Amino acid sequence: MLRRHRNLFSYSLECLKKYRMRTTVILIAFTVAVSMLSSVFFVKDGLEREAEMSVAMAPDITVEYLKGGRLLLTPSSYADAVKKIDGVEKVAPRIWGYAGISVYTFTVIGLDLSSANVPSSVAATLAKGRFLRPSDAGTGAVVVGQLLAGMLDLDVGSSMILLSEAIKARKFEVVGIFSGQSSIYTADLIVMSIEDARRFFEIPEGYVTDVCVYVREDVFAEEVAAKISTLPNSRVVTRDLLLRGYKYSYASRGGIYTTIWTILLVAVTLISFSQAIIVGHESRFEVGLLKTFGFTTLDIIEIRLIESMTLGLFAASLGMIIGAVYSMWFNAAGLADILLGWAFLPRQFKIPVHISSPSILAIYSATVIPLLFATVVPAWLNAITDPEIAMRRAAA
Amino acid sequence: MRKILALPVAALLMFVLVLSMNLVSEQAWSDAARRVEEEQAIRRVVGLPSIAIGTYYGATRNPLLEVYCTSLYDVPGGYCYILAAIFVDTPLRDPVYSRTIPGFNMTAQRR
Amino acid sequence: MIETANLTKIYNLGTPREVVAARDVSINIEDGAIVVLRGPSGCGKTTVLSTIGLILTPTRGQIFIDGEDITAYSDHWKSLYRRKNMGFIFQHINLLPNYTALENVLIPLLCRDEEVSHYRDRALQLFEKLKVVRRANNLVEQLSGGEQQRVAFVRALMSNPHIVLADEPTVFVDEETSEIMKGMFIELGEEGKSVVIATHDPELIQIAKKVYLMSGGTVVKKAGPQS
Repeated sequence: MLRRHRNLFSYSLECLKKYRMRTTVILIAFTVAVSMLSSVFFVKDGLEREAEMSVAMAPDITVEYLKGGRLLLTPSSYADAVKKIDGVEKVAPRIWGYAGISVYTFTVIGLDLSSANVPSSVAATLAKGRFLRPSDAGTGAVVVGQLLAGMLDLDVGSSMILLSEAIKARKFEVVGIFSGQSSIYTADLIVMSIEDARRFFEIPEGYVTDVCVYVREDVFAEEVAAKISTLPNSRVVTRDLLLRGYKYSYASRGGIYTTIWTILLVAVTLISFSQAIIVGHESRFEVGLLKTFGFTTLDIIEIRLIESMTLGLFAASLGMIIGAVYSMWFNAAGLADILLGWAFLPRQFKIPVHISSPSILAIYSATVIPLLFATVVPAWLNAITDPEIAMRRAAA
Repeated sequence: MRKILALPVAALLMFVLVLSMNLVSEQAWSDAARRVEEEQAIRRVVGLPSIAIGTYYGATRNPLLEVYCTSLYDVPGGYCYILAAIFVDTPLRDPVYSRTIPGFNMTAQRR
Repeated sequence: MIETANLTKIYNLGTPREVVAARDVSINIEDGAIVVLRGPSGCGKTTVLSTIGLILTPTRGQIFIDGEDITAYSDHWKSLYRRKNMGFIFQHINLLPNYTALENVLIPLLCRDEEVSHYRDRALQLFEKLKVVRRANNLVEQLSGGEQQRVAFVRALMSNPHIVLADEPTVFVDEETSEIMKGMFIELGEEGKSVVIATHDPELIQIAKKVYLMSGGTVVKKAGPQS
């Protein structure tokens, strides 16, 4: 029996070789579509994983202040009110904002160094210099990311002038520069003490930008968030909501792109199907003839199955390899812009790529299965027809 | 027979390569999730919920459109990060999302 | 022995394009007999041949093989039966394009649980007999009509079938080849194999044990070759 299957296997491969044009067209079309599709999946998965990791380290809850539906500075007293809520482990008021340098926007974050609890391991994220110490409070010491350091040619000990919104120049001294390893996270950061941030943004005493809340491990953040939202004018952002927002953005933007390439895949599949059913004289004749020789319907299906599995597996695998190379080595040029939307990843950074199991499964399902259907079903239809009629129809 | 085996053998090899890439990627991301203590530490200290990105979105500086921007989530490091498209993005279309954003619908009553 | 009883085939039954290709055809083919179906074009010879060959399902009537009514047997059974017992020579030759002559004669054997390359020598011997061995490795498109017919002849005999069904086997070939084919049909008969030939060729009619004369889809006369 094994010999028979080997015979059928070799015949299937011969068919692929004989119908070279058809084989080549299907291979090329599928490979191109799959490579684009897979790069969307891989980059989207990478961005989502990176966002998950960032969000995982973010505060459980962020509390902001609204008036008339608009964000305003949060009274510091809110931090005290939140501290009293059951389930809250730690509250950290925060001052942060954006600083513009030429056309670029950097994120300025002010840390309360007296209570920040900076572990010593943070020092390993620095390429040069040191992290902020409690003694740096109000001194203008900053730690900057690679992007800014490169742009202004900064080194440890350099002075840097930032222009505030009030069009006042403030001088800062660089005490540390984040390393390239953590740059996907720290590239656009300017970290300073909360006192310096307050002065730079001219935030009056008694106010902060927002309040970070960390809940106890045995408590659900949503429960605490619900209690916090009873505070008047409060706007409560949980980590879960943040993550959903990111995932939704990537999914929807990626979805548009995915749709385009899926349409191409469907088109190629339909063409293969119609070729086999309507125009496939040779195919119909061949099936009729093989049946005459004693090939059973199952044999015919096996032949076509091997053909389409080989084609599909080859095209899908090659497409995914190309997609992975395009994403990892070429930073998914063109595609990344679509996925990031109005954001962009600075040129020196590698876009995060994740070749995930669900994506691979989805891609193989979207390519191999339709191709199987498009080739096996017509073959089956021809095989269950009287061989004489199949050959006659083909000749007609 | 040997020549025609090229296609299925190549298909199988590439399939194995794809699975290997998957394994390596999954491992790399698992390792990244348990990343060396220092990188976790900086993320915990700084507490920004996003990776470093720039923005092309000039509308965030436009006072007329800023109201749309701030009615959605403006998160530190994001600078209307969640937005895309012309000026507001598809989170608008997600009812679960839009219903849970406080102040999102400025003309309707809050429930 | 193969017998048909009131075999009828109607194409497009119940439609304005209905065609009665064969009606109430009852014939029998004994083991080792050469039987000829004779008649003008369109009289139903190919239809009857195809039905006997189990590649066309009759609308009505029965087919018996060694006394067993196999008309309603499954498509799978019929495929297996054809594989073990039948060889076909088609009127339109029906070789597979893009394959060589040798490949065409070996392809029918691929559905067997055997090493096909073992049949290579037999194929070349038969090619030699039919004087087409030099074209064994040419694509069939490169062969003349006569050469293709000879290749088709070889293909039918490769599996050493018990029943050979031939539809106008000598229509494209020269006299010499026709003589060779006639000789081979006689050999098949002497080996106890049944041969059914649809033909106008008087040389082939001469070697038949039985001749069925058909007209308008029915058998109008049954005779020996001398008649």
